[in-house]
Amino acid sequence: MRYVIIGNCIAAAGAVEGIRSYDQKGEITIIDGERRGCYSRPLISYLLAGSKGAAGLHYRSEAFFARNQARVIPARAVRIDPPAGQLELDDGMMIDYDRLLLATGASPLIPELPGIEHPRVKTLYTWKDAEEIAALVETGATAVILGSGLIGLKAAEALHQRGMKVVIVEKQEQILPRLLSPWSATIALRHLQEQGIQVLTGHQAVSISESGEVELDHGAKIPAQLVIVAVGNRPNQSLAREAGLKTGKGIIVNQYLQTSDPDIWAAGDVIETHNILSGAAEVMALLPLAHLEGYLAGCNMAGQAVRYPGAIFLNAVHFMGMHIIAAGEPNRSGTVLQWQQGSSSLEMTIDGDYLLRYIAINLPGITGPLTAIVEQQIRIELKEWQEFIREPSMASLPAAYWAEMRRWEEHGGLRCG
Amino acid sequence: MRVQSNPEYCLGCGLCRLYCAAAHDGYDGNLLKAFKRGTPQPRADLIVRNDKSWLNTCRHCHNAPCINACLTGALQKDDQGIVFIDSQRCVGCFTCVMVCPFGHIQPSRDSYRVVKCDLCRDQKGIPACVSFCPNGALSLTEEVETR
Repeated sequence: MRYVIIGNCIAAAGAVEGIRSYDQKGEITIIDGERRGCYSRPLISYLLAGSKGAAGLHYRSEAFFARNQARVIPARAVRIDPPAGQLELDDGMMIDYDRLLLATGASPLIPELPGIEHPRVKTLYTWKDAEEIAALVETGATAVILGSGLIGLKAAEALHQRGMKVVIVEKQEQILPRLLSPWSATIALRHLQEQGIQVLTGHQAVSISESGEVELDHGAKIPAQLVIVAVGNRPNQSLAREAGLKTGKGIIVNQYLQTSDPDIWAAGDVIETHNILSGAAEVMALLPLAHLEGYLAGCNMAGQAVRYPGAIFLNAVHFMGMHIIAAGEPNRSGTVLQWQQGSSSLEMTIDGDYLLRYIAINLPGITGPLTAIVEQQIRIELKEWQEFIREPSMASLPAAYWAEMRRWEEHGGLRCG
Repeated sequence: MRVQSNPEYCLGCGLCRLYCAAAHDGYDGNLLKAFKRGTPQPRADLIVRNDKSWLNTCRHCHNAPCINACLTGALQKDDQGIVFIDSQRCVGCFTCVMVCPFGHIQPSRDSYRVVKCDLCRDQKGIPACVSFCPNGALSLTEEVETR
């Protein structure tokens, strides 16, 4: 059996582990388009900040791939020929496959703005990006970050640590719009401002001049040494589209992570994932899902039939000493409970007897059980949550959670795969 | 393999946590060295609820959610099936804390990495918490969560 994986990131590492759980003999070939090995994308902001060296970036070492007999080819795949079971690389080489995994990931969205091609306008998405930005860092000069999502904030933190003045421009009325509620965003914003980051919400850039001056929609002009564009990402679907696979906003897969071609699977940021809470197939480009999806795809490529039940939105991030963890459905309404003490806060949205979403700031300890309650749809009455939120802690978690946990212990196994 | 906690026998004395802390971070099981001169940190929490108490141990899950979710590759499983963390590679994002359904993994005291049960894999013999529980409330079992 010849397994070929396009992309050498988190999902690929998961797939190698999945394949090797069931097939010790098949040949595994990985096409590494970035030619950097299997590294952890979130760590590039630490590289930029200077708090991690290049050696610390690897998600899985070369020894891991050697041990699993996975051959890594530093090249980019340019075309898939499904009827022939072949893949063409950018150096003209042809690779035969029996089973193919597309782990092609995503790329940053670039807004159409006059001046966006300016050499000091960058994205922070790859290792190479981080190196290019590092070369432009100038202590005391201004960096403008377009977008206040996870990448925007991690870029802001890194450049601040490198001594730059940082201005974040966010189109929405609040920071981290996909992650936080207006209430929690206000808490996070205050923290950012206290750390010396300037934030302009409700504004967007309209142009970037030749001298690097960023003009905003209300006419303000910010002279910038560096502009980081972090306004979202889009799945890299062109290989799949050109090969005739079914695609939507991402590659469409079934519950076994198989595409419309039975010899081709897909995993990670490039696919549409089944959202357990909304019931819809959505692009859920989240690192924690990429490894699991890769692993399950690998198991299935090796002849198993392991189902992927889908996922919920979930994120954990820390910047400038603040830890934010949020999970669940951002767009559904319900009863909102809030708790705040010192620098910690918790917000929960409850619909009927179900927890839809929580946002915990500087309160990580209880988030594991809360995520499980959202994901497994454990039924807990509102009045129990009202009791819990008076003093949120592990010991005060509602009885239904502990009962469910005992059930897991006795019967073994959670709903997954 | 994992440590199972039986609330029926647990007195909530917390000795498990003292010996756990002393078994890690290079204290080599020396309680005096750990607690008089160091900043020891236990790898599991004691939960006290409605007159019952238990040690919230790691289940060392099969297909562990914490390993799937780890951003850096710091969380791994060894040949014996023990889920452990390479602290050098942990950046303290707490993604694993967010996905552990049991709430076992916890932030370290300095808040920039996490700590979890490693079944005292660096020491020989059975885990310290099991050895020193005065009431037999903790035992080492072969059962694994089939997550």
